[in-house]
This record gives sequence, C-alpha cells and structure tokens, in this order.
Amino acid sequence: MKSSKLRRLLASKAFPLLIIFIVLEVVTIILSKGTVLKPVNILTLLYSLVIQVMMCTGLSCALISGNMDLSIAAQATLGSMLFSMLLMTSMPLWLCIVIAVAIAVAMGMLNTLLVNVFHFPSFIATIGLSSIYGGITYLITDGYNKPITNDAVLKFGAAKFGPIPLIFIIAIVLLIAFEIMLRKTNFGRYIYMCGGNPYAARLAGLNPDKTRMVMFLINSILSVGGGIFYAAQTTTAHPTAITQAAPNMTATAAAILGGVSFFGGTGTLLGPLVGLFLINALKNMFQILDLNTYWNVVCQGVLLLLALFIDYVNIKRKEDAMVKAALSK
Amino acid sequence: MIKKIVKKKEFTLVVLLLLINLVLGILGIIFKQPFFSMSTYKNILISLPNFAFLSIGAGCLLIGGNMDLAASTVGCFSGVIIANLYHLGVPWFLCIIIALIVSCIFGFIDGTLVTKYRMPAFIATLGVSYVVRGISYLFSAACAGGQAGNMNFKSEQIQWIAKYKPVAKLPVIIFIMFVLFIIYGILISKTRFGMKMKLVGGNPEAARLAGINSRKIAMILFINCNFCAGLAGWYNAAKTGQGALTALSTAQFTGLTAAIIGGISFGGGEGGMFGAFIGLLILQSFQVGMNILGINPYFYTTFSGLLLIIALGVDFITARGKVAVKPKAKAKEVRHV
Repeated sequence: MKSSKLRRLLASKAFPLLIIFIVLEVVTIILSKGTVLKPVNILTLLYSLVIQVMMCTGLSCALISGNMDLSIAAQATLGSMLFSMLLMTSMPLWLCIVIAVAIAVAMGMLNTLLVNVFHFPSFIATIGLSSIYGGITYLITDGYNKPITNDAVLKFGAAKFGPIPLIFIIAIVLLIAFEIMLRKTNFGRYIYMCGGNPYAARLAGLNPDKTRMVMFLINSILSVGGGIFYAAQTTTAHPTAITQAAPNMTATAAAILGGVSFFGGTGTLLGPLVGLFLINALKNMFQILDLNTYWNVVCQGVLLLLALFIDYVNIKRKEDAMVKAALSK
Repeated sequence: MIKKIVKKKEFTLVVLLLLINLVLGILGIIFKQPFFSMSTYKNILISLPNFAFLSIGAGCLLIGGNMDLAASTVGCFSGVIIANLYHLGVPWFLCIIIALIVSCIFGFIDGTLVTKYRMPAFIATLGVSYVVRGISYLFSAACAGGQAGNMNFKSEQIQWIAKYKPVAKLPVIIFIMFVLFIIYGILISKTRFGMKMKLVGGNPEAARLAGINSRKIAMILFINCNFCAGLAGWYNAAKTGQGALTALSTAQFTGLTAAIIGGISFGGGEGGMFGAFIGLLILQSFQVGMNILGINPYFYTTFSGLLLIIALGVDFITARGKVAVKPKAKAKEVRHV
C-alpha cells in the first residue's frame, strides 16, 4: 500500500517540479550565502504568496471544469478597493464583508451570464470584463490609494500564528479544502467530468452550466478575498499594485505547470501550489543573482509557454497510446 | 438591389457609425464643445493608421480562425528597435528592415506554437507578449548601456511616413493605409487565397479534407499579422519621434475589437476588410469624441471593454439567427408539401 502511494507520487506531474524547485532553492541558498533563509525574507515571500495561492486555487478549479477567467486580477483590485472604501464609511465590519462578498458574487454571476447565456468564449468575455473593472476602479478612485482604516482588518492582516502569517495559513487551508472537495466529493467528480467532456457529462445527467456557475462564483470570491487579504496586509488598497504583479499570468502558468490541463478535466490543486513555489523561487533567484529585473518579465512568458508545451506533450502521449491500443486490437 | 445592400452587415455598421456621430454631435452642441468640425474628422483620420495596421492583421487572422494578442507588443518592440538602432548609427533603411524582419520572426514563433504544438492561440500569444515585452526592455537596456528607457531620435527618412504631407496636410501614411485596406479587401473577397482563408477559419477539418494546407495558411496569416504590427510600430515611432517602451500598450485589443465590431466572426470564416475599417472608425470616433467632450479618459478603458462584449453579443446573435432561421424555413417547406 505504502509503496504504491510512493509510486503514484513519483509518477505525478508535480514531482519533477518539486525536484526542480528544491534544486533551485538549494542553488539560491548557496549563492546568497544564506540570506534567503533570513526570517524577514521568508516572511516577505509568504506574504506575496497569499494572494497568488488564493487566485491559483480558484483559477485551477475553473480550469479543471473547462473554463478560464482572465479577470481575476481586476476583480481582486476592484473588490479590495470597494471594500476599503466601504470601511471608510461608518458601516459595521460585518456589513462591509457581506457587501464585498455580494460584489464578488455579482462579478462571478456576470461571467456566468456571458458564458452560459450568450455562449461567449470565456477568455475573451473575461478580458472584456477585466478592462471594464479596471476602468471602474479608476473612475471611483481617480487612481489614488485607499488606505484601510479599520483596526480589526489591519490586525487581521498583521496577525501571525507562531512565525507564519495567519492569512497565509487561511490561504493554504482553503487550498487543501478545495483539494479534498475535488478528490472526495461527488461535486468534485462532476467538475472533472464537465471539464473533460461537457457533452458526455450532460448526457450523463449532469448540468455543466450549473457547475460552471459555481466555479466562477468560487473563483470570484477567492480572488476578491485574496485582494482584500493583500490590502489588509499592505494596509492600503492600491489601484495598480495587484494588476502590475500580473497574477493572471502567474496563476495560469502555475496551474498549467502543475499539471492542470488547459483543456479541462485533469489536474489537482497541490500541483499548482508546487508550480507557484517554483515560479517564486525563480523570481527570487533572479533577485539574488542581481540579474536585470526585465528578465523576470521574459521568464514569466517563457514559463507559461513551457507549461503549455508540457501540456501538449502530455496530450500527445495520451493520444499516441490510444492510437496504439486501437491498432493492437 | 437596394434590399440587397440594406441586408448587408456593412450597411448596419455604416448606419451605426452615422448614428454615433450624430449622438456625439448633439452632445457636443449641448456641452458647447464643437464635435462637427473639420479638425475633429482630421483628428480621427490621423489617429487611425497604427490601429488600422493592427486591425488589418488581426482581422485576417480572425477570419482564418486564430488570434494574436502579442501583435501590439511586437509593434512596440519594432518601434524600440528602430529608435535604438538608429541611435547607434545604423543606416535608416537597415533599421526599418531589421525591425520588420524581427516582427515577422515573432509571427513565425506564434505560428509554430499554435499550428505545430497545437497551443490555444490566445494564451500562447499572451505568453509570447510577455516574452516580447521583456526582450524589448532588455534590448533597450543593452543599447542605452544599462537602463532601459524611451529613446528619442530624429531622422527625415524614417519619419517620412508620418511627416511627409502631400495632400490636404494629411500624412502619406493615411493613403498607404487606404491602399492596404483595398488590397487586403480584394485579397480576402476575390482571390483563391482569401477563399482558402475563410474555409480554414470556418471549418478547419473540412478545409483539410478538401486538400488545403491549413497550417501553412495559419502560418502566413500569423506572419502577416506581425508584419502589419511592425508597420504600426514604425509609424508610431515616426509620429512621436520616440521608441517608447509602452507604445501601443493600450492597443492590445483595439485591432481585435475593431475587427469583431466590423462583423468578422469570432469563430472565424466570415467578414471582410470594409467592415473592419468601419469598426475602426466607430472605435476612433468614440475616442476622439470623448476627448473633445472632455469626458474622463478612464471611461474609455471601461468603454472599450464594454464595446468588445457588445460586439461579441451581436456576433453571437447573428450566428444564432442563422441557425434559427433554418428550421423555420424547413417548416415552411413542409407546409407547402
């Protein structure tokens, strides 16, 4: 039993990534003479991972169900902006949170509406929505930061559980919860089926449209949540900070690197997590090596393309195996 | 005859364009900002060319069933190449040729990724756009010796397309643009190659069975799209006298939006250059109109997203209309029998 589990781990797509990640980390630690391991640096890394983990969780779920959402960064920005503006009014905190969730739900429903009712390709619809959200963000703020004024929220952003930030723990717990949902529940199975073959899923009595709606809602709530966490931690909601970090690309690249197929139906959530670690380790290494920061931009694109290439190789291998099996019969 | 014209998609677009102009004009009268004037329309015309090149490329690709989100970045890079190489003392014609060749190479890369490795076009080209952006920063840093920055330059020959004004104080590029629109329009609607393009876009499998090399066609269209983007970058650099690192960054979806508004179906296989041109005019009259009316420019960002979605919606409705009409027609036939 134990050996089969080990074998499965070795055969999983995330395993080579894990190895690369460890090698990269060791190299960076040696090159930096240990400065990477300073608590301050690790803390910065953990903080920057929070929003990425949240978005990656939502996006991976959406990708597994065969959908794509490129508006998550804009959603997070707009959500966190509105949240901090709500806090400035004298509303009670719980009401602000409820409204923020309602905003996230509304944005998710808008995605759903465009894809389910009008049958737009999800990526182009969400790109359109993303520029709409971006425009709205600028219109309501005129491009200024909105500081967060509520003490409870600030305390929440700065809270630590031992040495680890509370918000990081929440993000990881959410990721594990969704992983369990995907693996153990019926709904999780529906997601895989709807992503892998929506037509067959519909014939089997499932409702791909409904699954898509739930996925988009989860995605929006998680990304707005991530935006709010980010704002709480940095004490301001910033109109460009989140989009500048390009979490859309990071999350997509991490998800595909981690074995989520772009065409839906396969993948886990732990794989993307490893993918995220890898991307951040690479970023870190560039900083340590004092390479030009522009390399980082190139690297983001190259990683995404690499991930897509791996996806292609996997699909091709599967196809070849099927052709071989058919021929041998 | 008239019925035929009225039924055409392009006719609806022209009416829409006139309506938008009318609304903007009336708003202009209300807010006492003159919209109806020669200078307004001249502004619109002058703002057209770089977006026009992008939308020609994007339109052709879209008809062939693909898309390229890296085109605007490639255009930006082409401008950066021209400015920096010229600054280093490379002769002007070599600067332009190198920039255009590099653009074509990126087109080739896009095409390879999409046709050979079967990557979804939009996400692969989005990845490429990051690579190109990074490379353009690195290139600029290498040429300027350390820090990347916008490079100013002054060259009569390179800036000829923007500065030479033969007729009515309009730069020569505008005439080039019209000629290109006509050439591409004829290419798409009248030639065998255009027919093949539409077939590949509309039904790639059928096209393949009919013996058309769809990979080759897609590759040509990708290279063409990036070549046009290179031209756009050249013009942009010539107009501003600067190889800016963020040039055309707002135009990532402009070409695509114009093409979709202009009736080029998102699923591929349909549309023409005249529609794309009208689509572009609609977009630009909005932008210039909003400028004149003094509306917050952030509205334009919101608005262009909204327009993209509306255009997709119209595309969807017409596509469904076609499917829905057929059963009705059949029902009528049955009744006659």
